[in-house]
Amino acid sequence: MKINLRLYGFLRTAIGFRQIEMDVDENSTIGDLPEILIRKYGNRVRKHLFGAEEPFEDLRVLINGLDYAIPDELDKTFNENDVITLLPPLSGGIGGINDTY
Amino acid sequence: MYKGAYTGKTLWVDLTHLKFWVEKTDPELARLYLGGAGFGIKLLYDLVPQGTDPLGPDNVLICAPGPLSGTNAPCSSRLTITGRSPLTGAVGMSTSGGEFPAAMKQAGYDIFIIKGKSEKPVYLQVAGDKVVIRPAEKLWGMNTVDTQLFIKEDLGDLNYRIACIGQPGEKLSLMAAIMNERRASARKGLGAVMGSKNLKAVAVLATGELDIADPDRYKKAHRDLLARFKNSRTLYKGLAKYGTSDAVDVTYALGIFPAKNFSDTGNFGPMEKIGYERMAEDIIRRNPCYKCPVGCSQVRIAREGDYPGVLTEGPEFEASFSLAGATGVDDLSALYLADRLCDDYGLDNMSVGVTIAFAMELYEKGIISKEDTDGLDLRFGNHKAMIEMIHKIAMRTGFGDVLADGSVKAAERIGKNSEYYAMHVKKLELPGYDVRGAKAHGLNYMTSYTGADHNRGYSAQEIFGGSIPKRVNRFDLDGKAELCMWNQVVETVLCDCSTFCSFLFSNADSFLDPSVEQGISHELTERRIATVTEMLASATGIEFSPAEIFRIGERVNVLARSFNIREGITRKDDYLPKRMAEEGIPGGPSAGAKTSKEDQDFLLDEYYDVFGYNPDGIPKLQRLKDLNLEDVAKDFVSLGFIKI
Repeated sequence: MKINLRLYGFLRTAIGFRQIEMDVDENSTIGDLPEILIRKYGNRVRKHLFGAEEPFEDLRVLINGLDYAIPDELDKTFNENDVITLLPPLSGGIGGINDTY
Repeated sequence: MYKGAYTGKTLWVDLTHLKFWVEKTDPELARLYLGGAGFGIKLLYDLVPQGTDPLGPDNVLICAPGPLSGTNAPCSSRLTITGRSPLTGAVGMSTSGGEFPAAMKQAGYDIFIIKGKSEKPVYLQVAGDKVVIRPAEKLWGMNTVDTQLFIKEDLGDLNYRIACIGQPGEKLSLMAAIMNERRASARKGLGAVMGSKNLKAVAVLATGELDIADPDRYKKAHRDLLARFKNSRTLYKGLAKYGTSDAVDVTYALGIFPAKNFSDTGNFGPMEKIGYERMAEDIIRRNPCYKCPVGCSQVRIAREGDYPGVLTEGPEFEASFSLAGATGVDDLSALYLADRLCDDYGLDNMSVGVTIAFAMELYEKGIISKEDTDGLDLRFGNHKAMIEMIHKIAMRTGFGDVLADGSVKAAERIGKNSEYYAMHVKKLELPGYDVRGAKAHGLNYMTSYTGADHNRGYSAQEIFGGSIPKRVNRFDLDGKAELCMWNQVVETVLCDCSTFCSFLFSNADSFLDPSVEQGISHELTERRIATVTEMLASATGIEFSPAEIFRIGERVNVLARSFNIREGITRKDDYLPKRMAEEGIPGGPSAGAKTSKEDQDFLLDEYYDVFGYNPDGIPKLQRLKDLNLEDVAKDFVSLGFIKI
């Protein structure tokens, strides 16, 4: 199924686009995203997603403009044509034991 | 009397009689109101009676940094200026940073209280015990950059720090700012209050240092806070690198970056031209405030566009919203120039941009024409027309005179049912979040005591997905009243009274203990604010507890609202612009979102309840007594607001 990614920061620079359309398996989840991106874009994204600068668990994930918490909601599945935005941690403040709302 | 942090001195200035005198800063004031906006609002309530003309001699200007300003507490050099706002008629309280706040404390003063009106233009020189009221006729007509340099040369010392007005303040524009360096106490028209007193500037010179009551205890709290800064996920990695410009992309990604006077939110958003990464390419240096390890203030220079070579300290997110998003402008150099002009003239770039956007929408809809706009083609996106309008507003020429007092006054002058397009709460233009897509943030706009004010109770949980004190869904209404109250109380006391920079509040893991589990109870909140409380207690020698600190935040908010109620500003003024109830967001991820009148009433009813107000939004008698606001209780009983 098709999903749309909106990228910022290191990921955008590494991949070279602000927006990309991707084909992913049905029932793909937020947690599958690092592997999906590494399979397609290789090492140039691996070092960011698993490195110190912008590790995946620090990113802010929006699906259709709504926040999903990492790691609590890694198993959230995508739907056809979802717009997934991956933002670096720019402001906000993360703390405490995460409760989903 | 004061063991530390406070200087113990309050300077009174009577401009009518050109007199000044020093009094002791009242220790009860410190204990109950802490400093900054707490001092300002308490003194405003006591000194400015009901019905005082905001541009008359009986209005006051209260300049008050916080107890920590001037110490080595990071991000604590913050100035609050308070008076009755001529724009809103409500409490006018505006903050700024830079060097002036620290210098004012180091010059020896906790508070300046300025009243009256000088017959001729003057400026105030304060260097320790040396206080002089100096003639300022030569300065009248100068912009804020030239004013500051001229005064430093006049006084023979470049170390003076100066807060001043430019031409808009002199011409009593209700969007006039008070500038120190390029920092702005911008909003609520306090620059006009200063101009109405014929006061051009206040110049302070640091002449000493501040004591710390318990240095060892303070050092530990200081170390703990700095460690927390370092561990914050965002403070140094985000805010320090990009400043506030990252919020342009964040709000656009959420679908709440307001566009074209809030008529095109979610559609217009040329991030490749005005987004934070594009703006980062133009950064040439950072300009930290006094003792700030973050340095969020970025200096940028335009390298292309219609205005190459323009240099500005900024633009901050709000200017990027008001002078690009709201006006539909996508020429980055024009945004830089607009930002720079507002600083140089001394104008609130937020109200200016939204007021120009208001005029642009009227123009596009044919409600006004070139005949009204001095021949300017005032369409959305016409950045040259926007620049020209800023000059006209600043100097009150032509159509600029119509717009110079903000969108609500402009709508009154224009008529033709144009008030629908004035995007304001309590006559203060909306900040840069389309709050149809962020309900607690919207409730904050509705209920802030200054009018629509993002910084009096910022909802970082909704805007940045923050989880302190808890994660939320920005579209939900449930629980938002409680959250809004929490944001308002905590930001008021820790930022506006202590004083600390508001950006610590919106990067909350730098400031509030992130190891505390999620939740909004008093117990959890007290643990979150323990380190900051410890800094305040050890610096001042006043044994504040976290519970007392939270209580101060409540007291200041309730007192400010009480001032407004006394001026006839009540529940009817606590609503968003009609557009937000009647029209959904046009496009993007928040398309369709609106906040109906029913939703707003639901939020208000809950908010009044959690704050201890009756259904009309008036503080209950017991609530006033519990917060040591007996004077307000007496006033409200005698004025008939409370019946016993």
